[in-house]
Amino acid sequence: MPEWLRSYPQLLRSAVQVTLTYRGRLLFMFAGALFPMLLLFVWLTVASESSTLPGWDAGRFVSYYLAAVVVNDITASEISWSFDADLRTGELAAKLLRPFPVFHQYVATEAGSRLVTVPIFGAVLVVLTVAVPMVAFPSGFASLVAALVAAAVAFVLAVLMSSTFALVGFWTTQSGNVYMLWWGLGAFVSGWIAPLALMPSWLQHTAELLPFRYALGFPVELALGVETGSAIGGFAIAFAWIAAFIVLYALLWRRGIRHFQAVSG
Amino acid sequence: MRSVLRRTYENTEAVSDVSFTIAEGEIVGFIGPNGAGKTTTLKCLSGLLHPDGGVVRVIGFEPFQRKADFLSQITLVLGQRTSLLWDLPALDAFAVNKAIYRIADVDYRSTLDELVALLQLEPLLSQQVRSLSLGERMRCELAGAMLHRPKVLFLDEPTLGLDVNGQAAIRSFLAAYNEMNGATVLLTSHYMGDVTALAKRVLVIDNGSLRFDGDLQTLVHDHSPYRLIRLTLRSPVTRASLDLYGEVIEVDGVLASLRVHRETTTTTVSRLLAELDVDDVAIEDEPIEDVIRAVFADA
Repeated sequence: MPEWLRSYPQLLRSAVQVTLTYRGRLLFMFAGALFPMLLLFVWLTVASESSTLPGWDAGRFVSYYLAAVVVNDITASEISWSFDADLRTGELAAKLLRPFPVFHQYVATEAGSRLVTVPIFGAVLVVLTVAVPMVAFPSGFASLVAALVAAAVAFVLAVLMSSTFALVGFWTTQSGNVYMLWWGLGAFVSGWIAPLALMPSWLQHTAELLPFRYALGFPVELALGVETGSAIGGFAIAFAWIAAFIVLYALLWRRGIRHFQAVSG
Repeated sequence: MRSVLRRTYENTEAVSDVSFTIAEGEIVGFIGPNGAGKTTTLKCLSGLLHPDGGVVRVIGFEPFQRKADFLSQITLVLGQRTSLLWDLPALDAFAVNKAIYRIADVDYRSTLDELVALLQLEPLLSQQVRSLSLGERMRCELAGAMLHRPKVLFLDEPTLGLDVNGQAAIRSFLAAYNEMNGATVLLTSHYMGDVTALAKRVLVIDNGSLRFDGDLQTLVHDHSPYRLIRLTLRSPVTRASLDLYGEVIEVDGVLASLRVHRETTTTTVSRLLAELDVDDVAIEDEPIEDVIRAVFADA
């Protein structure tokens, strides 16, 4: 085990403390997380007025988007924004001089904040599932476990994507916007705009090959039992993307760090 | 508008032709005007920047590789930049450093106690960093940067923006740290007081090139052929009566200052004592700022 790995628990503790310091921000975060509910209302209207969505009644839509809120909280990575800000304020210099990989300094911060928010979102989801009859995840125990694993995989993939795009900042000193564009384009094939099961089959097949679905829709689909394609195949593609982003990150880091201008002072 | 459509870039050589060696335990002042290349050099030495050419070695390491063993033995303090956690008390940031630098509990306790005493941190430790004054934050910043007892300190304007007391506190801390730990220090500062209080040797850099490397006294001697004689007389004198002895800088009643050639200082003072009603006399070197200005002018 590398030496620096032993420092992780303390970094997570600090990140939890920082997250808890801003209670106001936490409230805003929870409020912001409810935005997908707008999409839910659109789809509820569609479902009530059309009979062309077999199997997709109001209960299924509500369940889908409630789970999507939780997964989105896990995977909405802010690393590219933080890196962007650190580059311009010079804070990156402090991170670079610590004997702890820069990548993991950001990941620890993200993971620490998830340790605060995910239990809250998760608990709300469980309570709603128990208390509200229309909210249901009937896919079975094995699929629910698979969904939890897929959510963890989604976190890993999302922080890798965000971290990789962050490195664009070495050349442009702006990386948050680039990542936002990437994630925005991905919204159509991630399961965010609509469950992929409702998309045309060509779009489903495209989505199955791209990384976005594995950072959002895939765990939700598993929990609901509405996954397109095989679950094992899905995990295989997700791991392939994780490997690809690890390689891309390493390459960009090696080139970018030589390009680093240590701006701001 | 044109710059949006067609952009031109110019390459600027930040530092070139800079060579020096610093012995273990030495405190060296690194001085030069804004944009001279001081910070760039410190960033190369600490591993933040990759030099396009030349060789950089610090305690046996190539800094840019940023090996953990290297980073564990150095620190870079950039004035007015915080590596503390803005929203948490300094003590929490210290706990993170303790974990990152793998500092044993016993060592952490004793080092922290020492730093708290030297920098008078006791009342500050449990306050949120964002609520501290600049001087208080800088003291906490230094403590955080020293917890792992670095052997090499790169300090870039550590007293920037601090009042006289704040500057004095940091200077005496650095002197004490150097003495207790035998640490090597490379210090940049626009406050010459920092340099004269701490460093015997100075490096003067301008336009990315080294202009001087040597003893501070030699720098003063070589670039300042004059000395200042400050007189307190028993009765007021006129400027004309002092013109005979040297260049009169100022006359204000019984107080007067003269600039004389270094070689003639002794004879001039003897004459002044013999010919005028002198109550007190002091001989000083010219202010170091003036000397540095002369170095840049010569260059």
